[in-house]
Amino acid sequence: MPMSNTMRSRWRYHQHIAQAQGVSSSDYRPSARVFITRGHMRHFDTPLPTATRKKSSGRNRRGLWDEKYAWGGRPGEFLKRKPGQNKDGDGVLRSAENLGPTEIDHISNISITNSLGQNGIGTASVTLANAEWEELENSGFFYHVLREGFFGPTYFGDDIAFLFDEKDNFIGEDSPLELANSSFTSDGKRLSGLILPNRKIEIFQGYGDELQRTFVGLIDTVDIQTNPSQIVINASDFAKTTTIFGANPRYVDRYPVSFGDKAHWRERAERKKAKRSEFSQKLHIPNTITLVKDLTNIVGYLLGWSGFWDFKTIRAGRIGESLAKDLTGPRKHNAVFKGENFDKGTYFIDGINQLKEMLGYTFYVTPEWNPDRGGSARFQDPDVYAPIYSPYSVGMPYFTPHNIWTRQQDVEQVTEKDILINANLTYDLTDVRKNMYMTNSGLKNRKGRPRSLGWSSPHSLMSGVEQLLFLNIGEEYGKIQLEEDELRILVRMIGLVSMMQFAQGSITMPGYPGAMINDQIDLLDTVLGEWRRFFISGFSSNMELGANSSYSTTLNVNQIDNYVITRIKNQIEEITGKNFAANMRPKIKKTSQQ
Amino acid sequence: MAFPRNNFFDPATLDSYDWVINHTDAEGPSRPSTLDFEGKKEQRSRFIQGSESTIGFVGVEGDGEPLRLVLTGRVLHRSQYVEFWKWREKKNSFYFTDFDGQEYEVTMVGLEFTPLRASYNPADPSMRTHTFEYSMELVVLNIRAGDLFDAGVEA
Repeated sequence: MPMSNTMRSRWRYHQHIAQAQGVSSSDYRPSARVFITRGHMRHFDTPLPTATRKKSSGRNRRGLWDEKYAWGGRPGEFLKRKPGQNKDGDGVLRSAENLGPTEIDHISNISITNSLGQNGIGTASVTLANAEWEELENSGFFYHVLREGFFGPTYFGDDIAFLFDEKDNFIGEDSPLELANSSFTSDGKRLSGLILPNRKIEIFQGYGDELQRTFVGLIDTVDIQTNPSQIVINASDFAKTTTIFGANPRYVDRYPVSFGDKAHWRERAERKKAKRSEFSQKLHIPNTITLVKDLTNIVGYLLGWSGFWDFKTIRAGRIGESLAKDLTGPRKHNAVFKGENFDKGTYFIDGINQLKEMLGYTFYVTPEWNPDRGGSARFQDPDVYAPIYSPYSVGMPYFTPHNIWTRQQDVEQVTEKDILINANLTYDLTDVRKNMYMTNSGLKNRKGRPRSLGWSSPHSLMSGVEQLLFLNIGEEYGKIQLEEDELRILVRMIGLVSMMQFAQGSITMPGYPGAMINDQIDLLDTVLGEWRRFFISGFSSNMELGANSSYSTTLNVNQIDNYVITRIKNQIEEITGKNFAANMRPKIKKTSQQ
Repeated sequence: MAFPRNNFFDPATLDSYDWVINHTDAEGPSRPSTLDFEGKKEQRSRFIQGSESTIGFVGVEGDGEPLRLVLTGRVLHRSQYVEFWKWREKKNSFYFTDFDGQEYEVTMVGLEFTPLRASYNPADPSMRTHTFEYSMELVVLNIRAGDLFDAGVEA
């Protein structure tokens, strides 16, 4: 994830101290800001995009999060009221100033974890002191009173009637969560009912005044503790909407929507067009079929229905298309993905996970896009195919941005000597196979007999140990029939995954706000003098604020072997006869100009 | 001219209290260093295929701790003993002005008394046979006047 030049230099040159006490312009100590916003989750209320209703309505695609619902009432009603007014006339502040992000102070700890596991859902935990020195004034003298529980969602201060009768029935004027309580932040934002589950939370971290958004999501649980008074906020990122929020009513008991191969239906339309008369040329496509070009399009729909406004799917290209065709089963003319091939599951994430496994893609949410709207989902292949290119001198690990094949500007370069705290790698050959054989029912030799494809590790790596792997792809993948080229690619991809298990480890360094899974880091092995490239499959960061500040990030990495990747890349290109990179990018249809 | 007395002033109730006897010893105002090094030197080594090399320090500094005042002294009067406990139990912050004119907005976070046997305490007839030693800890919320105020120190 990119970082600003200022942030980079403060991290790079480990300027993690305040050079002059109290002078903010030169204060580079670890810092963070946390914002919480009341609001309302939105899901697509758009009718399902089908063959007859091809485009989802743009006006409903406002975004994942809508603050205008914050105070109840019907949508749109809020905006018609004047500030300070409300329907009930109860004086509860409902002006626009109460919307928008409210900053939470007194943060003592922030920890963020994300990895390619856990359904791509990143988690964060924020600890803050639940007390505030409230400033009061008497006869021109200012003093402070410690308000414990000040940030609690039901804090009501001293001056609100919060009464119960002898039978423990509430006899106040309003329910606790609706109380117009007396806890306001210094900029006048209400804290009542703020720190509660399903509020949007944003975390910015960095050094000094240079901050970067490192997390955006929804609060899961709020743990209010006493002695000392503190609140622990546990949150998940917006990928949570694909699970807990994503129980899709459309999926209950039946499959009202099926996905169909667009290319196939186009061909079918052409066939029927040739047969039928002029008045019956229109192709009948059932409303329950949604035509897609690619398997990744299905993910796009699933994300849309779960509420995502921003999602980026990188088309699977050739591999995806052919797999999509094979998903249709033996009757290729009926190009609709059947339930037995594509189990939509209970939650949106079930479908995404299934497609993730088919394509070998990754799914996760990054906070870097569209700061106004929320996190963006990414469904793309792991960036393990980036070509090895180390233009920098020895001893300089650097990070690469999300990218496939094409090389962009490096995100980070540092000398390992002064910035890494710990690098711990484990070399394990248990899961590595010397030889791998794959068979498929469609794979036959010239005489019509079944045969297999093989893949072998570098000989020197295995030191003569025979570890073999036999796979029958036909059984593993729902008896689909793969072309030989596709099987050849698949066998090498599995070999690549096997190789990634070879070296795993963790790298700890001072807090790096730009850490994101799917990035890469190059590390020099000082003993062998070799560059080794690692794929970041997960990370965790921990920030302690206050007197004993610390901020560190730990990356969980898998080694990507340069030799193997280069060889696989060459072989894939040899098989396909094309530049594989071109197929991985979204295809742009060119229209001929007359 | 009487020697200037330490003073407590409560802005909420406008109560004021002049100490009968000032403190004898003081620590602070102090703000200790919060500069720390990320990890320990022996932990910051890197293991790749059995090799090991030490990597330099990475310094991290925390926020400044609050200013603290620790006052110790002896109480000879029961009234001062009672007053100290009253001010200890204040829920709001109050002002502390020492004999030197240094004025702080403080909250009392610690107060410890040690009774001492005395053969004869002439200061207070009601406690002839004992006195107290005390240790009082004040946390500064604001600096209102004095040398630190002039120096621009933030509490």
